[in-house]
Amino acid sequence: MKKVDRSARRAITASVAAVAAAASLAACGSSNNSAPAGGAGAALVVGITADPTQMVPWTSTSVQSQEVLSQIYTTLLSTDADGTPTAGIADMPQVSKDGKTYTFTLKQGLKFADGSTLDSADVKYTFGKIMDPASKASSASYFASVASIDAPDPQTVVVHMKQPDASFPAGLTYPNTGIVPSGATADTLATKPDGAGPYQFESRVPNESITLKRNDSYYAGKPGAAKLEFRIIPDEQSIVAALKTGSVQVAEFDNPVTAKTATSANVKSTPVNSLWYHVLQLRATSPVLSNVNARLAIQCAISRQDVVSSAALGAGTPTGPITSPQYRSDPNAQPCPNQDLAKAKAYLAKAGEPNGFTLNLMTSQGLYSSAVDEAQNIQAQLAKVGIKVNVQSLDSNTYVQKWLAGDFDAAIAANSGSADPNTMYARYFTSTGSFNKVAGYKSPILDKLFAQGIATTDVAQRATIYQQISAQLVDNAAWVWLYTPKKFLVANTAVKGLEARTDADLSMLWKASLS
Amino acid sequence: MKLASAFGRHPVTRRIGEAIVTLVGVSILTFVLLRVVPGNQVTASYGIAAGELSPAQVHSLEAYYGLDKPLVVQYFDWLGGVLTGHLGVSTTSHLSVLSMTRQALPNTIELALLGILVGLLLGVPGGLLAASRPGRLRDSSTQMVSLVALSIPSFLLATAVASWLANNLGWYPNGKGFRTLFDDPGLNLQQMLLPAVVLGVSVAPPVLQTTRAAILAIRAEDFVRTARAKGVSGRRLEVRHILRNALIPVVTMSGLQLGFLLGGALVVEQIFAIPGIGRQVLLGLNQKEYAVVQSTVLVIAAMFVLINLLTDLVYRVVDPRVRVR
Amino acid sequence: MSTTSDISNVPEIRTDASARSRAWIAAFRSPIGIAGVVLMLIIVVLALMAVFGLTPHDPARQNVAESLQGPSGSHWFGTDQFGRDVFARVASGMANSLRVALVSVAAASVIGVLLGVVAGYYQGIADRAVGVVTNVLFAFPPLLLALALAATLQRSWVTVSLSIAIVYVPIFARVARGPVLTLRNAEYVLAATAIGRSRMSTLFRHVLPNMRSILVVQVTLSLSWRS
Repeated sequence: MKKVDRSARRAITASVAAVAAAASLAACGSSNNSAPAGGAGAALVVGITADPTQMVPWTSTSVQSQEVLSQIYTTLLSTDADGTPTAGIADMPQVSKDGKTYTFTLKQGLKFADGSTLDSADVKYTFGKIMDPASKASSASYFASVASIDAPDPQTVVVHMKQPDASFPAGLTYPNTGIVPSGATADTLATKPDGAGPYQFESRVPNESITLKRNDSYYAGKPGAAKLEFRIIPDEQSIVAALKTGSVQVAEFDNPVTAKTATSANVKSTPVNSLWYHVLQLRATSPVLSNVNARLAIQCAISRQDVVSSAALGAGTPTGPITSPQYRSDPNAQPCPNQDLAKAKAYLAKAGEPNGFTLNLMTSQGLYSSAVDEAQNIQAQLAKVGIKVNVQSLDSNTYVQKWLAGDFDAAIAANSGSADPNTMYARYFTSTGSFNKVAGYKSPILDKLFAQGIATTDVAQRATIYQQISAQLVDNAAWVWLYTPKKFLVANTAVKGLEARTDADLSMLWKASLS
Repeated sequence: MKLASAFGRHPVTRRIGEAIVTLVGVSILTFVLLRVVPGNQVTASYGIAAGELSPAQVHSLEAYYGLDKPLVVQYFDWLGGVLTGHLGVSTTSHLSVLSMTRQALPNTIELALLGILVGLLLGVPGGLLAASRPGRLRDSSTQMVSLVALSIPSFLLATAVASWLANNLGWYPNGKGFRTLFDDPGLNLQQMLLPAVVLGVSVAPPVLQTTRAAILAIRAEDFVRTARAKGVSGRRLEVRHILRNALIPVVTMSGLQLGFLLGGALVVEQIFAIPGIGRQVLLGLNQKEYAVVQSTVLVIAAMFVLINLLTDLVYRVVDPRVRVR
Repeated sequence: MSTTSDISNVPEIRTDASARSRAWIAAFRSPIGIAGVVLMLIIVVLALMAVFGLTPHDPARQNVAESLQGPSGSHWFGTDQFGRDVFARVASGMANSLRVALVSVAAASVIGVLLGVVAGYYQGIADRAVGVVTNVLFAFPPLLLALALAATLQRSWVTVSLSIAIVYVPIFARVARGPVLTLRNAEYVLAATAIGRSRMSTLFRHVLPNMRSILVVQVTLSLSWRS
């Protein structure tokens, strides 16, 4: 028996020693760097959690795809740090007096990755592709008011509109309007991206990484890094570990706690604002919510700050409907800017439901990380006035299907914002909007206001109109807007020149370099 | 008829027949489950933007994805393709499922084998230790440790270990891009180390219990008493007689665990960003890539069935008592 | 009187009462046994507290002003980001887990044992059919099954129990089938058939009760895995 103990113990010691030896060898072997290897050929590595599967600009919808595509392709217009449109490969457009003609002047010396010149013919081709129903482009709605496009000379693009649409320029800043060479099809672009952006496509390993190389003839300047790699690491804590050990240099997080854990001597986290808004979508066409007083009761029973403090861990600010910087809604300009249970109960009485009612609220874990938390917090808050909320936590595909069909009473959602309020809400709250069935609310006043909003390009005039639209939306509690989140741009201190822009937008990433 | 029943009689061919029937069953089950789940490739790839598509556009997309044909036709189309070596194509990455699997499978096999290795390295000596003095402190404490190891959820262990190492030792090789064993053996083994340990910790407890139980049972057997009576003792007795026989159930248990691990230790692959089969299935599910999921699941099931078959056959060779059936 | 068998997974069959009470005493003497009972009692007590609403705070009550506090006199485990008492949530989580484990393992064991015993006892086509079903369920990645069920049915504890039960049925079937193969040739079974007992009744009266210990081990293992 004694011999067995010894051999058993020896075996265990041996195996533990073997594992430890391997580990220490490995640890010594790898260069222990929290500072990334610099130098001329160094790659700047950005950590993302999902594979950018859509490589054709006009079909892209996912955030990751758009991040990558914004490096490869150029758009007619760019945005400044706030998200407001400025010049891109074209200057800001000249708009005719009647607002129906937009003239863009392209910059000189624009080149695609294949060496060919980018001129107005390519712009006309790209926009034609987007507007073609057969392309099923996700950016088609930005061109809804476009009648036709001319390219009179290589540097000039003229867009003729069916009616004035002041929101048109804002749409041209999105990566899914990126300019492609004339004649390129979805099939060719899917495997061989060809754009005029700061980086060119080099190689791709599906679900692992996409590597881009510097475009030396980029029109706006020399991109800072020789190579740019988007590395797919599905788990956020693993991205934190990679940031800490220097294998990844840049990442973006929504969760403030994750961003905090990533912070160290070599890694800094910068909070940025966002145009996104988190909202409790109500459908006024549902029987239980058809009475405006019932909806106002919900608005008054909810403390938006509580939702921020609990579900968003404090990383956000209560908001009104419009998050566009130039037209931002006043978060306090609504019947109940703060929780007011007495008022809520009064509204319930007016709605004929003094003891509250039952509300089905749908959400999904797959939407975004705090979707279910927000639903649960709202459930707890509404219970205080007797509104019993059934939280239905669905699979994300089920949620999307029901959402598209308008088959719900209330839903938790987070939608991206825009520099232009019309782009944000026309499709929801006008009677002809493609998502009006989902939004469940419309009125003749709103239709009129939305039409007025795009009829003029004067910012001051538009501001007044959108203030009125915002007031209409909150006074009738079409939806209950909750908050706009803060995002966190986390980067290694060795990365110089990285701009912290709204929504942690990476369109100026080319200015960054590794020291 | 005579041939079929003759085939049916011989245990080996019957096993193979059962294996084939099992695989067909798995293929049908996968196919049905995928169609029963709401959503299809159009909603998966477009998300909310699918609402902006007109019905005509949706129809043409469905035709492109092959979703418009009747279900039976879709099933046999796919099955026919599989039998001729065409496992389908991923419409998002434009790669064939065969090439995707060919890249992902070796990584999962490597991970599973390393996991089993760690599990055996921890479990067998542990079982030996526990069995050396059954019922005493050594035994209870080893079993307690084994229980604790069994209770820890693998995702918690993985994240905790990875975070601790990254924070305190500045070491996290899985943050660098994945390299296969042939590309860069050094980096690959470093990247496999943590996931293999996490997997091994979950495999070790059953191995430990099986080893311990087997040793205790065999020690009481008649043939051991005979050997001892003949004068065999010490190391020779333990290894040649007891351990050799005790390893049989351990081998079967390991075979079973290997089969499970090959199903893709999904959690570990996700956390450590290892491009294996489990991730392939998960991503295919999210993107509603029917061909990817169906073919990959079939490959996993085939491997599982194959391993069970092999284990069964090895068991029959090694232990003559089982040959009666 | 006990019968031994030549395949080691069939237990020794004890029929004398004194042996059984000796076993109880031995169980309580072993430190692992005591530790196990104590732990189990803690878990059950916690779960019962939650079920009967005896926890110091309501697990669902949110109070954002009290969020993210450390352990204190009123909140033994502190509070979460919503201000909910963590101790109460642990207790109700325990209750949920236990409920899922009990229901799923009960369902799986009843169905699985039935299938396994029928397969082993009646052999022939029944054995083949059960074999195919068992193998298909074994070879199928359980995660995929769970995901598919979660997507189709509403997310609730019933769905969870169902997915677990489906995955465990083949395990019970396989575990139950083994001993039946040997026991069906035991003398007392042959004797029962000789005096004219129907096969079904022999199955329930003679074979099943002698498989108790193996089944108990499997059931407890499954419960601990799944709770």
